Amino acid sequence: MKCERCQEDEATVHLTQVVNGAVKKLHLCEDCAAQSGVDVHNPMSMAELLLGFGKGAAADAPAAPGDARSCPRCHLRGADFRKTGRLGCPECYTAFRAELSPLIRSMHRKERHAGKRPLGAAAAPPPESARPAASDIAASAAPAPPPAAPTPAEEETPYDSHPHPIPPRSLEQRRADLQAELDEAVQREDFELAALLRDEMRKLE
Amino acid sequence: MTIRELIQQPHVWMTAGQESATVVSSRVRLARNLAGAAFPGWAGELECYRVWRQLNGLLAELPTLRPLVATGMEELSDLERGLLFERHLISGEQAGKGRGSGVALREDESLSLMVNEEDHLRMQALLPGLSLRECWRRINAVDTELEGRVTYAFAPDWGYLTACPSNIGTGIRASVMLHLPGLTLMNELEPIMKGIQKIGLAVRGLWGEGTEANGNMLQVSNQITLGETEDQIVAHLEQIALEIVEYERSARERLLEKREAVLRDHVGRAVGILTQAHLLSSKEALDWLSGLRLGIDMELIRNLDRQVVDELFLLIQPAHLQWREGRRLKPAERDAARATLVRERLKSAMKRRPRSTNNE
Repeated sequence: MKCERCQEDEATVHLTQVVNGAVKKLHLCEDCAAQSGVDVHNPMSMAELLLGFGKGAAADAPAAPGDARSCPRCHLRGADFRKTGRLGCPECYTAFRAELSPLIRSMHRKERHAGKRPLGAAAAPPPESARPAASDIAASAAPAPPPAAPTPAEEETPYDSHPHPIPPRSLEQRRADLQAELDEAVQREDFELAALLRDEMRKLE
Repeated sequence: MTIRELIQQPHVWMTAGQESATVVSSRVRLARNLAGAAFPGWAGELECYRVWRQLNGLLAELPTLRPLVATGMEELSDLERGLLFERHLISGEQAGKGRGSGVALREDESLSLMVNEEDHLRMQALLPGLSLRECWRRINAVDTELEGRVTYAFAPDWGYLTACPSNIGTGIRASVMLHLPGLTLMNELEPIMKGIQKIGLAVRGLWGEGTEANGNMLQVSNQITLGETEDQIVAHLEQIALEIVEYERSARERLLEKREAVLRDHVGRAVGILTQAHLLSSKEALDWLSGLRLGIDMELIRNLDRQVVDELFLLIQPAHLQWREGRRLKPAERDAARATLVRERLKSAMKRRPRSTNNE
């Protein structure tokens, strides 16, 4: 089969795309595929195919509720999710719960997990229970923060268990943290990490 | 052992037994993420690298994965990535990743883990034939060892949390690779595949999402991951796979009964073209290899082992072809190299067992 674009070389890349709900097949040679920006190794994700979250669909779609809101932990916005079909971090499931619930229901036709759960994870709450608190998401997280009164920092740090949280620290503190990690990396001769840390520190300047 | 040495070995699903005529291989993969870390697509390189370093250290400790080989993606050449992809050990997406992502394999290739693909961890068990329950048992054991050492992102109601909401809950994808030439030749494949999609299963080509169904090879997998247990999902897919096997058996029976000339013509052409052609595109080669496989299964070809054909399914792929040739080949050069490889392999295999075909 000849490439549909240049009509010269043999088509070796065969794509199946869903465009406006219609299945479209495209046969291209390798060069034309690369030229037209097709990343052969990164086919559209399931969500994009299933729900039209594809980039094409998002471009002319009207803004949806939640687009401007962002996840307090990773700062992904609703609009980012609509563009890629992927969330930023586990905490996004709490931040965008209202938007995700109907989506998940239509994808899976069920709403509650059944099956394996990690050691020590809490059992599923009764069906009518209120939305889980952020700390439930990190269910089996090591020492959970005590349920203290809300402090200004609490919103930003629901993930005490993580070795590398992104707390609302000052620039100087972050620089000091990175420097400490850098020193440790150099001592361990992990130069790859050291290089990445140096890049990160440069970004802060 | 390094990944480079490992690549020299025959692949696990090429050593399939007789029972794998229609179900070529089975696979179960689990998606897992670490609590508190951004998903790989949103995290920066530094955060990805920290996760890779942490997991790389932990995976080396897991008894179920021994003996283990692991490497960061940036260590692998394009060709090596291609080899791993064609062997179904990494995804196409992972093949495009660099520093901060990695791959870990048990030396027999039955268990493989991708770090920082779409999720922090994608781990799979891949075995020949219809062996979904065994795949689930093995990958579940890896997961259980790992969960004692890390804190997974998990919500009581939505289960294991993944970058894409289509994978939440169990995070499981069970799939079978099916060879269905009988249904194709009887023009019965499409309605069956539509029926499969209607009951919530996904149908894909040989190399997953977005690939064509070449060589009459199709992957069928579960789509829904939330609300059913892993055992239910695996049992359901197994039941559907057995039903498809039965459809295929019946199609082959009727093919021999009602369209014997069509069948013999197809198998005969497969032998003729593959032993004589000097240029073979990947699609053409796969389609005729499928004809050979059918001929062997239906005992129309008696002087050839199916394993020779199954190996060719892999060896004619671009990366394997270039690896064997030891250099980069342009698509046109590949077609010539592919035809030469197929011709020579088939001729020497058939010479070893010189009994004539039963396709007279």
